[in-house]
Amino acid sequence: MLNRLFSLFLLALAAGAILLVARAPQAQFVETLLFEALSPVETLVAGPSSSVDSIGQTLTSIATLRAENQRLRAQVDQLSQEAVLVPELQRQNAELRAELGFHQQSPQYQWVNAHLLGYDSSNLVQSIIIDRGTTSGVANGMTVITPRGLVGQVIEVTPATAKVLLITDVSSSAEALIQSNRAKGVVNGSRTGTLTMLYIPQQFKVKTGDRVITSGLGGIFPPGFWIGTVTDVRQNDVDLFQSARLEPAVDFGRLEDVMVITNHLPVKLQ
Amino acid sequence: MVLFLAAVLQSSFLPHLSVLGVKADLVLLLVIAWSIRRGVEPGLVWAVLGGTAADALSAGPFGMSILAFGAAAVLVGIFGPGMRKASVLLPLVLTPLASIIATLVAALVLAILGRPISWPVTVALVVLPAAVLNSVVMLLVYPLVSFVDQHLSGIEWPG
Repeated sequence: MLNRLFSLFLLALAAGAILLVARAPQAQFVETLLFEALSPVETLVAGPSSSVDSIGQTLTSIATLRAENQRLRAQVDQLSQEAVLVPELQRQNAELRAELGFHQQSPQYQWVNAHLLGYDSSNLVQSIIIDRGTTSGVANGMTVITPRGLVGQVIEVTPATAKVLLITDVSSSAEALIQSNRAKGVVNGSRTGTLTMLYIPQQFKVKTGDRVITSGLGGIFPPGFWIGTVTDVRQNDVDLFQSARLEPAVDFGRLEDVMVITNHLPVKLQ
Repeated sequence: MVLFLAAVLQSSFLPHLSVLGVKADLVLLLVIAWSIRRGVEPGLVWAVLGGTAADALSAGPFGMSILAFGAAAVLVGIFGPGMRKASVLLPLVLTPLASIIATLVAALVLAILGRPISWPVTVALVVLPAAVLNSVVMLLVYPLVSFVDQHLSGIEWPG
């Protein structure tokens, strides 16, 4: 107990002495001298210390950056998916709008949507295979279209698929008329992929750009579907008829989806 | 199985790789390659199987491809196995000939059945371009068929 009190007394005495001496110029000189001596050491220690501090900050940053990297990668993945999805949605939107427009223009028709599975395996025949068959109400002879125009006719059906002979096939023909002057003729397919309208009476003036549509004659195809546009006219006064070359309304190289008219079948003439 | 798969690829995938509206006839090439390797009889078997697969995916009359591929198999199978060792270029020589024969036979079948065929247009726009394209694709097909044949027969053939 006495030792402890004596220690406290000495401590108070030392503190008082220090306070008295610290204000003296000599003490400050010593202090300065000591500070200068210690400064290099402090600098030496401060470097690693700051490095340790920056390492600590770096480690913290790495963790933060890693988390942010993962977040941004997920965002990029999502945006990439949207970049693929958006054009598809836009295309589907455009197709549905076209179908709606077609329905508004021709409300009397019913149809089944079909997707293209493939083209004819032979180079000599122009046909496509679609993913709708008898179970979807598709039957032989039905007309196949897109909102843009005439595609062809169903010639073979299974429960789940059907073969469609394109109007560009050489054996395909459609009764047609020129929309502007109502001149009638027959449109045949050709190996070149273009269409030819034959048997156009000479008295009608046919010009480039005229639209050709189905006439409905013969009962094969319903009337009013766009077949193609006149690109070239062959007219000779000595011939009985004139002919015209047509650019098909439908881009057969880019077919993806078609419509099968289900409430119109070819008329069988007996 | 391979022939049916080839027919499906020919119908669904190869049209996107067509040149001037003509696509390579993968099934025909397999028949030709097999006929070169094995001769007439095995080639005819493949022609029947491959032709059946091709006709199933065609709006043309059933049997058209069988006849066409059969004609090609006979032509190639007669000369192929005997001359194969003489020249590694034999497939390149026989393929265009067989392709022309096959396409002409198919066109003849269509014409006989009443389809309007313009022979000059068909030859210029289908027969000849198909022969060229098939010859190019045969550069890929024949080595594969040759590899399979070697492993099946266990005999090392030169070329």
